[in-house]
Amino acid sequence: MKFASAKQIVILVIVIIVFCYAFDYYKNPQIWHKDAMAVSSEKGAHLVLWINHLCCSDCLSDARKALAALPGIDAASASGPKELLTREQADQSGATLPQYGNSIDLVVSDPEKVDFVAMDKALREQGLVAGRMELSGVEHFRLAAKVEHLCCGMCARSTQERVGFLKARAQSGQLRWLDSVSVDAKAKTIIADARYLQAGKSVDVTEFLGALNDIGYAPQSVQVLVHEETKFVSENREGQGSPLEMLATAEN
Amino acid sequence: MRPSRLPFISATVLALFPAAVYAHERFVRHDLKFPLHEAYFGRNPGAFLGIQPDMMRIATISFLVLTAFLIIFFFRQDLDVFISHRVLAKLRGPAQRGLHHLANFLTDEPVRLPWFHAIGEWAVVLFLRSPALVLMYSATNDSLVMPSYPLEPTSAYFFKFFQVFLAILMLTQTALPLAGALVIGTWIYLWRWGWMVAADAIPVVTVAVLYITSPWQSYKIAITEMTETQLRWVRLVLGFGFFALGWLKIYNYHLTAGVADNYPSVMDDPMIGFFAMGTNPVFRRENWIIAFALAEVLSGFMLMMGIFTRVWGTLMLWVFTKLMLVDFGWDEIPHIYPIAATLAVVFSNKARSEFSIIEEIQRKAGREGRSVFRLASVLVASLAISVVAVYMLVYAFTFINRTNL
Repeated sequence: MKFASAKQIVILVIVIIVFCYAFDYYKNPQIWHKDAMAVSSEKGAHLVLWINHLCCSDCLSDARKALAALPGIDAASASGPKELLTREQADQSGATLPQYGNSIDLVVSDPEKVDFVAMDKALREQGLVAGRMELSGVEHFRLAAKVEHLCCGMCARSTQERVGFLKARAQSGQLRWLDSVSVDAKAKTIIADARYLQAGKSVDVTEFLGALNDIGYAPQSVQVLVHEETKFVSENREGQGSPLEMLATAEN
Repeated sequence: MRPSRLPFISATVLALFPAAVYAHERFVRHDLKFPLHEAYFGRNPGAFLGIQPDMMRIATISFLVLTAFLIIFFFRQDLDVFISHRVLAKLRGPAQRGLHHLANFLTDEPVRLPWFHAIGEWAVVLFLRSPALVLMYSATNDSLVMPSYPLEPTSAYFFKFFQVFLAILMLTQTALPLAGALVIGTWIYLWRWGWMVAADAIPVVTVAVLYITSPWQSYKIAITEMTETQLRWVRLVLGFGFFALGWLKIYNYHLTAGVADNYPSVMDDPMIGFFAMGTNPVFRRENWIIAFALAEVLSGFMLMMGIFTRVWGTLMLWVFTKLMLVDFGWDEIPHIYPIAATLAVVFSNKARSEFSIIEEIQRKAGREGRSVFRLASVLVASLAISVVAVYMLVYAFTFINRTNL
């Protein structure tokens, strides 16, 4: 029987390491350029709404109108496609389907004030639907969905299982950003923890909205939780006070 | 690398990189639900050595446990003689044989029983192949090697197939030295996520010992036993992995407490309760972190150094199985791998100790009739080993601010 020599093992290990690092560098250059990442993250949070019907300046105007009253975003400075046709041009145009849909880039002034359900509703009332809502520029966050119908423990358990199932089933990559889901039945809230979001990457919130619909819930709101304090959700735990109260009680 | 240096290297590695911490998600939920008493883990002016009194108490209990185990272990031959000639002398038949085998099991002596040997062979087969299950599980969860570390979507496709390829090598026992090199290479690549990630994955490297020391044409042979050298290195790497993970639990205490917040049942463990006995209940979670971590440090240290390997291995088997089946459930299914590795060590008849030199010194002194020197050598060695193994890092960590981890 022939055994591997130490030299062979060392060479193999070095080759494997070099290959893994080189491949990683080639595929994920943003991770290796921290300075660039820092600059990129300074640009702040952005929300890109992909709307399959955004063919002319009137559509963009309707979209802006719909978003104007919503908190957390700067609808006035929403930038649409650069060469959007006017209504008159669009009337004459024989545009193909890819030119029919477009996106709006919104600057998010306060991520925690953005309510995706309200945004979806506002757009629908103007006759538009966002096919994708891509949030970027927030490194670590959670999505908190307020769901009035979380009546029992079974609802809570089934939510986690069903979302996990949907994620596993999503062959085309939906919900890949999702790390885990937890349910606070008392606070009637479903919280989706997003994986660490790197610069240049985005999370499509409509995937989460769709998943909630798929498992039978219509959320009243879906908001972004960014700050660390949101970790301490003790007030929602049965029979316990706030963390500060608990500490004070314990120390007394 | 000389095994006796391992604890010091661990200490150095943990102390040198306090700031190089990367955020990483674990599949087991770990978000902290209540704030911890941060001052507990830092310097406490007025307290002995600046260590919080409850932490000191837990460390002292661990120190005493380790010292007691070391003293008993260094006298195990004498205990064996005592048990055989005094306790078992009056017994006959199955009772005598049964107790003899039990004594052999507890003192790391060979157990000559066919069923014990059969379980040992099966455990090696499981140990060889179980990493493939972990890799496949990780691949289906878009992770690398361990489900704790998510892959970048851009490179996930390649790394998932890479893991499947490696799993096939493992399952079919093909070109195992290549599989070993792939495991080691991938583990080194894990440093890309930061040193804590790599430290977390040390136990995965254990199986690479067996792979790289197997023949190239490994698929042609049935590997059902480990050689003495293989077992020694498996024990060293596995033990060191848990030793380091134990210290990591204290170092990154927020994550440890976060797991307990999400799975409160893990705090109700009699063994950990023993280590935390007599501590102030105000610091229940903090005490639990230290007790849990030091229990793991002791288990890892004993396993690494070959001190009552089977006793501590059996305790670890109990803990891993409980974590997998009772506390965390499906999320911790990769625990099959450390269970397999520990089973292979526990059911091996080739256990050796790294401190055999102390046993030899005391036996030689016994033969020469130098009883005082014999006792003193064992006592001093046990105390010195325990101080270094327990107090050194507990003390060192109080100087490192980890509140931002």
